[in-house]
Amino acid sequence: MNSLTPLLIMIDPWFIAPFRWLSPPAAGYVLGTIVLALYCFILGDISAIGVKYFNREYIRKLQEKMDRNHNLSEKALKMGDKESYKAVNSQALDAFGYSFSLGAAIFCVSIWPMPFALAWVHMRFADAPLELPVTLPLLGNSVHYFASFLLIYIAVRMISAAVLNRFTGYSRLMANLTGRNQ
Amino acid sequence: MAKKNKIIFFVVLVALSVGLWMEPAFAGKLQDAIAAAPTGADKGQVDTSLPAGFLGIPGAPQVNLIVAFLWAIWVGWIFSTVGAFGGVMAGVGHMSIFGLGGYAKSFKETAPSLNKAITDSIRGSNQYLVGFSALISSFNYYKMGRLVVPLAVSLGVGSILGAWGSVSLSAGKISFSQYQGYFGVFVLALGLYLLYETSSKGQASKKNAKAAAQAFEETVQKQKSGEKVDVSSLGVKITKFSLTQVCFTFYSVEFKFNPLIPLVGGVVISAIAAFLGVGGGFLLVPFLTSVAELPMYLAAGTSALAVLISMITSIVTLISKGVQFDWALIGLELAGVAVGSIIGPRTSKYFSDLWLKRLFIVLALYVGVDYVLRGFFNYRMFG
Repeated sequence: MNSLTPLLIMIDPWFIAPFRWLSPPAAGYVLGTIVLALYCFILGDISAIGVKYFNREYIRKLQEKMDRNHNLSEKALKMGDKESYKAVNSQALDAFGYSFSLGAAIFCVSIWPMPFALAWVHMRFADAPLELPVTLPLLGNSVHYFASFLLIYIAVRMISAAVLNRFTGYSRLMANLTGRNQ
Repeated sequence: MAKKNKIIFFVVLVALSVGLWMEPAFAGKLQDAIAAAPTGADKGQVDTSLPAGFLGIPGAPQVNLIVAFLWAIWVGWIFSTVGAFGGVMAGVGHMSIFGLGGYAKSFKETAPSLNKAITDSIRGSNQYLVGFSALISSFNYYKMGRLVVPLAVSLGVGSILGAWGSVSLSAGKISFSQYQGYFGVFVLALGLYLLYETSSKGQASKKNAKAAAQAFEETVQKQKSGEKVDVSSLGVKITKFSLTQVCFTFYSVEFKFNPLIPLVGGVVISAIAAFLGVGGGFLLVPFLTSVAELPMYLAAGTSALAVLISMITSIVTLISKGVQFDWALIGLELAGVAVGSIIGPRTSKYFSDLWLKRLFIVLALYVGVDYVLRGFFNYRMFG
């Protein structure tokens, strides 16, 4: 088991289908990439929710510790007690260190499908940059696979997250898992 | 997100788009390096009779996917329990465990450009694994609108200069041995810092801070004023702004800082992080709390912009220099990190914090010394 190419070839028919839904090549490429980015977002988000669910108690405990110390540090500031503020703030920072790296790991989880998608896009489109109908100053008239995929992925991720957050159930689930008051 | 934050975020996204768009077709550089390398079955030659391995180079190591996945679980475990050391371990995996370092080193004399291309890919892969991850954690605090704008701008400008400068100056120029040596120096410094933290002196200052924090908490409880503070109020007011001093009040308490210090700090931290591919976000928050004595959430929010900027700058700069990545390997590693981060918090309770740190001190000192000796002096302690 030393190469993922057989796996990429196996899922190829399923991935390439949306790229053929529209006949103009550029439009087909953009639509196909949007669908692929959507797959990545959905799979990544489900995985991240799973990790948060498995570790919800640990995450909540960290969040509670951070919030408590942070609120206390603000209270110390209000009371003009800068020495206590520094001491409490160092405790908050300690909890933040753990929360920061756990959050980092969870973010890694949410993007894990993306490099696989890039590997497939590389296999298919490395030598076929997206040709634009217009030539833009400084930028030219073609975009390489990495730039086009990443920009479309970021846009899809932002729009999908914004849409999902409009659903009360989803935002409540997120708040519950992380212990954040949203 | 506040309106000004949305504007800043949009500007950063536009910069990313333009940067990515302007990158040249980047398959060419690696292909040129492979073509320039001598062919044959000996060390330092590209063996065209063998199947393609790492980055599609004929005869390059075929990274064992099971080993890569298991190593990534270990990286994820560290990420979710200990913290910053995850980036270091990701680097150790790419260099030593997967055999990519030794392969890059074999081209030192015969094909320097291939040596450097593989080195850039290794550090870029680290950057993807750990740099991206720092982004979102701090971004959550940034979204709360908790940031000191002049400080964020100063740190952000420093981060752009640091990340762009270090990658631009070193991409395609640094050999694997040099990279390994500098990586070793960084790990050694981290190990020594951890050693200080676990020493009686380091522990005493932590204990004092903890005791002072507890004493204050008790005082607050006695005064029966422990009601929740409104965390949505930002409370930052800039009172003075000049090239050498920025003053702001937070809950009526005055804070001062020299904007040149975060600028220099941003340059140094981002340059090191981009050069080594070890993230760097974890260094910015402690830096801000010590320099400007910022409250934790304010420091996190303020550093988020710098993390975002330095991350984007270094990745785009690497790509524009023609660096290639093994996407499937990075994907597999991220999946491993996912598994590791599930296991991490569930198992960390069985290990004491102090002993975990001591384990990492031993690891850091070993890896640091070994890499410095191998990289700078071509001396192997083992194997």
